[in-house]
This record gives sequence, structure tokens and C-alpha cells, in this order.
Amino acid sequence: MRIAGIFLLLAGFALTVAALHLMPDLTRRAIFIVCGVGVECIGLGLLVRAHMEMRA
Amino acid sequence: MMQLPTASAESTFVMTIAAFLVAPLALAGIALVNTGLGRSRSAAQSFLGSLLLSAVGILSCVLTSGLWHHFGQYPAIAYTAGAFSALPTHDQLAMAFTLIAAGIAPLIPWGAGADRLRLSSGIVIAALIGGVGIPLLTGATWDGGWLAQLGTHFGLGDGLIDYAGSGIIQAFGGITALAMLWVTGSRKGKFPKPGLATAIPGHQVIYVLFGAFLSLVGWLGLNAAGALINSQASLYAMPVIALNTVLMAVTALVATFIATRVRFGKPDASLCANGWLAGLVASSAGTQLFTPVQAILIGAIAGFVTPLLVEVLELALSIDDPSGAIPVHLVSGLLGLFCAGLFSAKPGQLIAQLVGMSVLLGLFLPVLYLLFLGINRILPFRVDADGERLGMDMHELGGSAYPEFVIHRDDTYR
Repeated sequence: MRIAGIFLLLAGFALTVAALHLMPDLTRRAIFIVCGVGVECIGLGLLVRAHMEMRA
Repeated sequence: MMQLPTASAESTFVMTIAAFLVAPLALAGIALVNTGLGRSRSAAQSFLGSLLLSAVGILSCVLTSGLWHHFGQYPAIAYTAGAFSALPTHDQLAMAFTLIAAGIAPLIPWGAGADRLRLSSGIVIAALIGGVGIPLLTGATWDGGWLAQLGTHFGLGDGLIDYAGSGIIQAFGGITALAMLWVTGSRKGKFPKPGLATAIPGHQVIYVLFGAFLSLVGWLGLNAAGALINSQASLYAMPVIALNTVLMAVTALVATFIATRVRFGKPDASLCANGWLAGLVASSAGTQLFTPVQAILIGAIAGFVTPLLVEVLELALSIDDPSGAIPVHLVSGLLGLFCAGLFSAKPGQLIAQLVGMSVLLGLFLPVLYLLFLGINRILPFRVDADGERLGMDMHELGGSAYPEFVIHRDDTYR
């Protein structure tokens, strides 16, 4: 779960940077950047969850 | 470095006073809060660590940032007397303001690791923050790098707005704290296997409250200097900056006071201090861009969210963060960044702010976490069990901060 969390954080960042360079207009760029941040939030959630399980 | 207009003598005077005489009080305030929220048996180590980590952060920033950026551009300044003062005024001030950032940021993970983070590990973390993280982030924003140029290249408002470091200093410090906490773990006895988390209250709430108060003065200087140096704000923006900074702090305090009064039946002094700090942290992204009503709204959100997050982190997420680094610095820092975009009239500004948040969360958090996991194998972050039982003062310094006072029962083992 930790590895998946780290992977999703990095993937979200990659999505954000890719959106900047690949999307032609502001609307599509904005949608993809929001999605990138969303993916990062899921990754963060997984990392937090992984560390909660470690305690248990 | 981004070329900014030549500063007037008055502007230079105000920048110098704000950045170098007033802003360091924020550092003193955070150090006091960190010390007060830790245990009495770790107080001297905590305060000494704050001074030492600031020093290491600043020195690392000078050595590495200087080598690859500033001194690379102006190599004479490192070796030639008078060459530094011959630089354009804005360049001199920008370099020195970066050093303030490198001094403040290491205190955030240091406070979060209170009572178990070893001094030597803190020094390594401070060297990474001051030597790598801060130069990269300030280069990308304050010095006109790719985040500052999001507006020019991609049509996203004015690029990332973070004049006094809501994201670059505070949220980055909070992210470092989170990565460090995951690697270091909680204090012994904090999360017993059966039952709820154990409350380990700070040993000196007066330090905490005074530190919060001192931070207000420091933040006034930090926000003023950040606006003058890193944006093209004029001296006429100073009253707005002062008003909004104060409004955010006081509103956040009142919100935390009410939230803790309603939630716990009585207001909590240390959480109120944390709420006050959260308001200050949220103010740093773009203080002069907010109207007073917006400042009150942001302060209220920061102050209301902080005590609730402290409770969630402790009870639900099992994160032992004695100084409240994550709710105060990470979450409120990100809130400040977000609001600077939310309340901007420029199209795409909110997206630029989201890109900045994405860099902090998606790039720095995993990289720091992996780096800390590796360093922890070579140089353990956490003190051994005996050291934790004795207290960091005795274990690391050989003497206590309060030698006349005896002493607490051993509540680390239950």
C-alpha cells in the first residue's frame, strides 16, 4: 500500500506537468491538473492508511 | 535571477528592517512554541536544536544555493570585499530573504519530532531543507523560475503566487515533518495497543502563547518583506499587509477558541496558539491580494480546521505531531496557497496555485519520504528507548533545562 501511495503521488505530479505541456487550451489544462491533484490526494490517503495499519 | 525594478531608498530601508530585524522573530516564535509543546525533559535540546537547525539550514543554503545559483551568477561576491554590496539592491535582498526561509523551514519538522528526534538527524534534515529544498523552490518561484512563469508560458494567471512562503516555507516544512513522522514513529506510550491515544500535554503553555504572540511580529515583517521583495508591491501596500496579517491571526484565534470551547467544553490554550499560528501561516501566500473580509474568512477557516485536524491526526490517523506541524504549517500553508488563487480575478490563477500544491505534494513528499527511509537506515532518526525514557536533555546534552525541578513520574511506559 505504501508503494502504491508513493506511485500515485508521483503519477499525480506527472499528470499535472503533462497537462501543462500537452493540453492546448486552459479548460482542458485545468481539468487535467485538477485530476492530477486528485490522484495525489488518493496517493496521500493510501500512504496515511498504510501507516495506520502499521500501528495496528 | 528575475530582474526587478530598482528599489527606492525608502523601499530598501523598509525591506531591510522587515526582512532582517522583524522577520527573524517568527523564527524565535516557532522555536518557543516547539519548546513549550514538548516535554520538560527535552526543553533544552528542543531550543538548542531550533537554533542549530536554523544555522545549518542557512549555511547549507549559502553553500549549495550559492554555488549553483547566486554565487554562480555573481562569483565575485563570495571572495571579494564589497562585491555583494555592488549587486542590485533587489538581488541582495532576495538572496538574504531566501536565507530567512532556509532558517525557518527546518524548525517545522524539528517541532514535530519533539521528544524523540535526535539532534544529528535534525541536522541532516535541516541540511536537506536549506541546501536542496529551499533553493529549488525559491528558484522556481521567487527568482522567476518555471512556477513563476506559469502565467507567461501557459496562461495561468500571474504564475504561482507565494510571496512570503505559505507554500515554499510553511507547507514545505510541513511536508518534511509528515515524511519525518512516518519514518520516526510516535513517542513511546502515545498510542497504546488497547484504548485511545494518550494525551501528552506541552510542558510550558506560557512559552507556547508567548511564542505565538512573538510570531505575529515576525510574520508582519515576513509578509511585508516578502511582498516588497518577491512581488512588485509598493510601500503603499504595507498598511493592507499589516491589516490582513493581523486580521487572519486574530480571526483564527477566535475561531479556534470557539471550536475548542464547543468541542471540549473549555477552550484549549495550546490549540488556540496553534490556531493563531495557522492564521499567520495562511496569510503568507499573498497578503496584499486579499480584502479584509476575505482575510477574516480565510483566518476563520484556518482557525476552525486546526483543532479538528489535530484531533483527527491523533485519534484517527495515529500521527503523533506534538507541535501541530501538519495542521498548522502544511494544511494552513496549502490553504493560503489555494485562497490566493481562489480570490484572484485573473483567469487560471487558481490552476497555477494547484500546480504549486501539486509540486509540494506529488514531488517533494514522496521524494523526501524515500530519502528519509534511506537515511534512517544509516543514521537512525529516533533516539533509543533509554534516551527517550531519560529525556533528550540528559541523553543528548548531559544536563536538564530545569535542574532544580524534580521531575515527573515516568509516564512513557504503561
